[in-house]
This record gives sequence, C-alpha cells and structure tokens, in this order.
Amino acid sequence: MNRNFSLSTTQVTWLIVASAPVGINTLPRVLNEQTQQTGWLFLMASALLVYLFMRIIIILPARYPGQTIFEISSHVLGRWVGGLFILFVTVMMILGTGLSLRLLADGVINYILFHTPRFAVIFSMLMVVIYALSRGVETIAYINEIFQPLILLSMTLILLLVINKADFSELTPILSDEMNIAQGAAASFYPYVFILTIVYFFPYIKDHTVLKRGLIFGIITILWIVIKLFILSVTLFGTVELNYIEYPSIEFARLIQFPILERFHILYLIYWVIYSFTVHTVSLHVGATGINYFMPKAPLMTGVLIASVIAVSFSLYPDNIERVREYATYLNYVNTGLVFMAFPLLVLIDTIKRKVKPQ
Amino acid sequence: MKKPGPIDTRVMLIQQQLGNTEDFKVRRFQTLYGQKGALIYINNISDPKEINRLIFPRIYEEGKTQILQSRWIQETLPLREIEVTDDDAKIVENLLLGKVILMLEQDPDVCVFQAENFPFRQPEQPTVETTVKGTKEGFVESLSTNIALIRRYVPEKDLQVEHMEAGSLTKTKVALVYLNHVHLPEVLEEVKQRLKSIETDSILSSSEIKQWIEDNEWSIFPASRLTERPDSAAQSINDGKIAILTQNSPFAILVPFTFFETIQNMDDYYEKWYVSSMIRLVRLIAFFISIFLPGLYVALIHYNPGLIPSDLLVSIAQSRTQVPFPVIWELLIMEVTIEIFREAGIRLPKPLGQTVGIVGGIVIGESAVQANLVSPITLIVVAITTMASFSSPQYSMAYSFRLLRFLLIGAAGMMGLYGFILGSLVLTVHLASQKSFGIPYLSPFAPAQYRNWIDQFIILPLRWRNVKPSYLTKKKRKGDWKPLKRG
Repeated sequence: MNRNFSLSTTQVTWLIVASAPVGINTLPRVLNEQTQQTGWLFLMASALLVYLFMRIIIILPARYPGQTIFEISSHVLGRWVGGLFILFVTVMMILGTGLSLRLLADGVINYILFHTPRFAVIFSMLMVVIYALSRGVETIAYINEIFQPLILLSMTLILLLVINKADFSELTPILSDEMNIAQGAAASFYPYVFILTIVYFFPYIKDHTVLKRGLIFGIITILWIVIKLFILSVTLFGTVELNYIEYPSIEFARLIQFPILERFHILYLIYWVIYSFTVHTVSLHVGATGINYFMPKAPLMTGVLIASVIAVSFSLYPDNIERVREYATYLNYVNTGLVFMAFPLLVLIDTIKRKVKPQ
Repeated sequence: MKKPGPIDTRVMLIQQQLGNTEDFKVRRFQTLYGQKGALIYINNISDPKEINRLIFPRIYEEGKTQILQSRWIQETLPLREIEVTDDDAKIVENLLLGKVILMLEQDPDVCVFQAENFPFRQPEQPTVETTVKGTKEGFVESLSTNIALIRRYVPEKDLQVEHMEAGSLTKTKVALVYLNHVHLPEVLEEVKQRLKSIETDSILSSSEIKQWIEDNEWSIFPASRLTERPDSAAQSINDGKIAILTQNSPFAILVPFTFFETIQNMDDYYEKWYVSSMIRLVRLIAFFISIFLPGLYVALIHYNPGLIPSDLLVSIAQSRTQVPFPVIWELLIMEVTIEIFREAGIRLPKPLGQTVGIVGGIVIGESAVQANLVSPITLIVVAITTMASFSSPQYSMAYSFRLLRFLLIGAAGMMGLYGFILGSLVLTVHLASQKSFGIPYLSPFAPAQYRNWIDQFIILPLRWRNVKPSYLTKKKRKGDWKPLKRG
C-alpha cells in the first residue's frame, strides 16, 4: 500500500460518486412502486440521513489518522471480532459487485450484444477492472477524475434533450396517498448502498477537511443524479407506466431525437458501461483490500483475483432479473444496517472505551 | 638510427593506445635553447592552425633563453582555454575530442589546447517541426551550438547547464539545461540518476537516451518530448521543464511531458488566441478520429448498424454488397496497406516518395474499390484516420495513435460497441497510470489542477496567460529527492 499518496477533495468526491451502484438506473421504477411521485422527497431525506450518519462514521479517521479501517476496527473491537466485522463488510461489497456486474450484463445483452453469452460480458468487464486495480489506488482516483465529470455532463445533456417532453404536473400532488413509507425509505437508500467503500480509503485521506468536504460534495452529486433520474422518469412516463419499465433511464434516452444519430439510447448505454466500470473498480478494490487483510503477506492482486472469482460466481448465480432484484433488496437492507447501525456503533464503542480508559 | 629520447617515448606510449591509426599526427620541434617538444593531434578532427599561429611564435621567443613548462604556458598565454594534465588516459581522451596536445621535454605535464574541427552544419530550418511564424533555425548536431541557441533565447542568469556522459564506448556528451529558480528539483535529480544508470556501449542520438530514461518501457506513449526547435525548448525551460541535449543529435528531449501536450505546439502562441484555439480544437478532434474512428466504424457496421441514420446505412450497405470480406478484415487490409505506403514514402528519395504517395493513394485505392476488394466508405475511413494521426505536433505520438487504432479495431471486432468501450477504458486506465518523471501523465485533469486547465484546449489572450503549470513549478528542497517508482 502506497500511503504516501494523498487523495484530494475532488478525488474523494468522485470516489463517493463511484460508490452509487449501477442499479440506480432501475431505481426510478423501484422507488415509484413504493412512493409514486413523492419519491424525490424520500431521496432528499435519505441523502440527509446518510450524510449525518457518515459524519459520525468519519470521526474514526479523525481519531485514528493514517490507519486503515481494519486497524481501526481491530483496535476498537479486538482482533477477532474486528476481523469478523471487516470480513462481513468485505463479503457484502464483493456480493454487491457481483450483482452489479449481473445488472450490467443483462442491460448490455438486452440492448447491444443480443447473442453474446452473459459470462463473456461479465468476464471482459472484469478483465478491464482487474487491469485498473493492478495499477493501484492512484490510478483508481485518476480514472474517476476523468470519467465522473464526463458522465455527469452526458447525463445533464440528456436531461436538456428530453426536458421539453416532460410533464411536470405528474409530480403533483407532492404527497401521494398510496405510498409505502418503510419500503420507500429502504428503496431511497439504495444509491448509498456502497457509500461505505470510502472507509477503505481512509489511509489515503491525510486531511480530515478533505474527507468532510468530499463527503458532502459526493452525496450532493449522487442526490442530483438520482433525483434527476427519478423526476425525469416520472414526468416522462407517468407513475403508472413507469411501473412496467425495466430500465427507465434507458427508455427515456429512447425519446431523444437527435439529427445525426438514430437510437440515441444505445449511445446512452456507453455512459452506463463506463459508469459501471468506475463502480466495479471501487467496489472490487474494497473487496480485494478486505481479503488481503486476512492474507497480509500476499500481494494485492491475490485479493483481487479471489474477490473477482467470488463476484463472477455470484453474478451468474441468480436465474433471472427478478432474483437479482430480490438479492439486491437484501443487500440493500444489510448495507443500510451497516451505515446506520454497525459503523455508528463502532464509533460509540470507541467513544465509551476512550471515556473509560483515556488514551 | 636515432635513439628515442623521453619525448619520443611518451609519444609512443600515447600512439600505442590509439593503435596504428594513420590520422595520428605528431609535429616535433626544438627550441633555440635546445628543449625538445611535440605537438600531437588527430588529423581531420583538429585544426592546429590557431595553435601554430599563436603558440609557436611565443615558444620561439621565450624558448631562446629558458626551459619552458606547461604550467607557465597555461598562465601566460592569452588563449581561450588551456588545460594541463599528466594523465595519459586523459590525454588520449582529449585527442579523440579533437584537442591538440603540446608536450615538452623535461616537463611531466602536457598542455591541452582547444582546436576541435569537427564537421558540423549550421542551424537550418527544422525538417520535422516545420513552422510558419516560428523560428527558422533548428538544433544541429553540435552540442555547443545547441546550448548557444538556447542561451540566445533565454539570456537569464539562472539558466544552468550541466554536462554528463552516456555510453561507455561513445562517451556521448549530454547536457542538462534548466532554469534554476523554476524547475522541480526532484525531477532534475531523477533525470540525473536515470542518465547515470544508462548501461550501454553506444549512445548515438537523443532518441536512444529518450528510451533509456523513460518511466515505462512497455508503454506505447512517449514519456518525454523531442523537439528540434530552440524556441520550443526555451519556452519549456521557462515553464520549468528540463532540456536534455545530446552531442550529435539535432533533437532536444524535454521532460516532464504530459499527454495533453500532444495537441500543443509552439506555433499556437504566434497566432491570435482565437485562431490558435480553433487549431487546437481541430487537433483534438483529429486525435479522437485517429484513435477511435476505425474501431467505431467496425462496431457500428458489424454489430450496431441501428445507430447509423437509415439513409446512410442503406448507402453503406449498397457500397459493401460486392465486397467479399467482413468489415474488420477490409479495414485491416487497408490499414496495413497504408502503413506500407507510408514506410516506403519515408525511405524513398523525396520526389520518388511523392510518386509513391500518388500511386498508392489514388491509383491503388481506386483500383481496390473497382475490384471490390474494399468499399469506398472503408477507404474514406482509413484515409481520414491516417491524415488525422499526423495532425499531432508530436511526431512520436503519431506512432502511438496508429498502434492504438489496431487495439480498438480488435476490441470492436470481438464485442462490438461494448468491446470498443472496454478497449477505450483500457486505454484510459493505461494513460492514468503513466507518469513522466513523477508527474502524472494526465495532468492537469487527473489529478485535477484547475489553475492549469486554461491553455490546454483553449488559448487565452496573451495578457491573461501569465500562469506557469503548477505541476512544474512546485519548489522543494534538494534533499527531498527520493527515487521515483517507474511505470
């Protein structure tokens, strides 16, 4: 691990943005099923809550500057419990990567490569991700600095191209009568399901202000992306039709009529593939780092290969997209629990230990 | 037979080291006081006329009444540079550099006079980096002339020149030129260390040194820039870069080098800002075309024709009906053919090279289309791509672009648009992981240095352009240097 490298605020921001899973493309439908047109309010509330809880979690690197999350959790919970805790988080990240790969593969096969085996799509993406991981954290930070602004730009361009077709009266009344608050809240946390990946980058963030700024900018950027996707999906398709659209963001790209290009949504898929690459790079890095914690003498690439095998196996396991969605829901619950309970609890235990036995 | 005296013995010892070469010349003489001496040089590379004109009259006068000593000659003769040594190895070394040796009886030392007379051409218009409004003089093969040219462009007291040697056999002189108050000390130290670590017999050109000191020898992207224009070198030195000049090479190596400098040229600053900005944007478009167009063409024609407008698609389909090859083979055949023509065009004499271009480009291209070996649209794609690849002002980057095309054609041929995107991702990851002497290759975009974003694609008016690249001007203490990780 090259601990001399230090992340900047911009890099932390983009790494947090890269933690928003690929499934945010299906989020408008899932959220609409539970909350109807009120979904955007849920998204704002969940962003605020996630920010508050993450602010609690980032007390840890302020207390243990320069230390990895493994070192911190071992210090707070003891070697065995801390190790098991990190193993659990790591496995969740790898499984999340697997599901994300599967969602990507299904999307690619549906829209671009109709006759290509799913394994080929997943494996080829994984090869590129492994290559990126072999170049180190610095490269991961740099590629996010290159791609994320372009992704944001292309999404904003799409917004501008379809906004004339949007019917904003679909957003009223603001509060829907048929919303399921509990399910809606759970769905609205989905964009932040991997936000804990940033804890694995703690040793590379030397200045705590950088982390604080990066966190707020990152969460605001994710919020902007998902709110825009949700509002556009609702205003373009309506709350009823939206329930039957598998990939709403791709479908509204279909509505774009561009003078030179036909089937603009296929171009939109380019953005989607690049975005998923950034997500997989960050999440698999986290998984590999976690595995390497248990094999301290092995090079990082050993962890990368083990994490990749697990992720590929899990990505091929579900029979159909419904299963993928089901597993993603469970994973969402677990990760929400990690953000709102497990990690804040870690901070609380550390605080109590410090009070009892001042360091 | 004359019995050899001490002078003859010493001359013989030197001659033995040089073998039986016939251009080894010895001019023996004796002063009026009776002291024997010898003037030694290698014919063709030394010009002893100046020595004859200035030294012999003095030796004649002073040698009437006393025994002469090398030290005395060094102190009293008004010549530009005289070195005194008693080291035989150093004497031979100086002889090979074209210097003249004065050896005197009863004196253990010898005088070394500068009298080099190597054939060098005068600065001429650059042949690779041609310019409309820029300087019409380029670097030449003489190191001292090249240093003089830079000194003329940068008459600054902080301009430093450090000499080193590379190649155990050729002992090629290398000069590092930089501005003391601007450059990054760790980059300079890294350059010196890498030059010292060159382990080879022969260094004959800047291009060889460039390869030896590169960060990653497996990367197809250059980690430094070659220029034959002194104004480019001077501007880079002003910005905090280090120029590496090599004896016998008309190219200066400029380090560090970042990827986005690929589309920048010194001429951009000689035009009005809006003209230069437009030219840079054209180069940027050409860069994208040269790398991505053939791959995208394969992906769209072979896998995703739905993206192409219907009218154009019908036209393309009609033109390809008679072509027996899949589009990827058609494209590869044409790309390889173009590479053959290009290589032949370079090797042939200039008038013949033009003929080959006409025959290759028009006659064979036209015939290939008529014989249905390739479709007209493929020919257009290959021609545009080839022209676009030469729009980069950095000549060596054009090679990288050409190689990358094949990577993306292969990726698109295997997995269509998805493969094309993955290929582009590999390319970006590779670029993001590269460094040039510790400076990230994608600076100032990754890592983002917003201050340096100006002057990358768009040039601002001159009075607003007073910012030096921050990644080049960060000043650190000299002791901070640690070896950088390559690659």
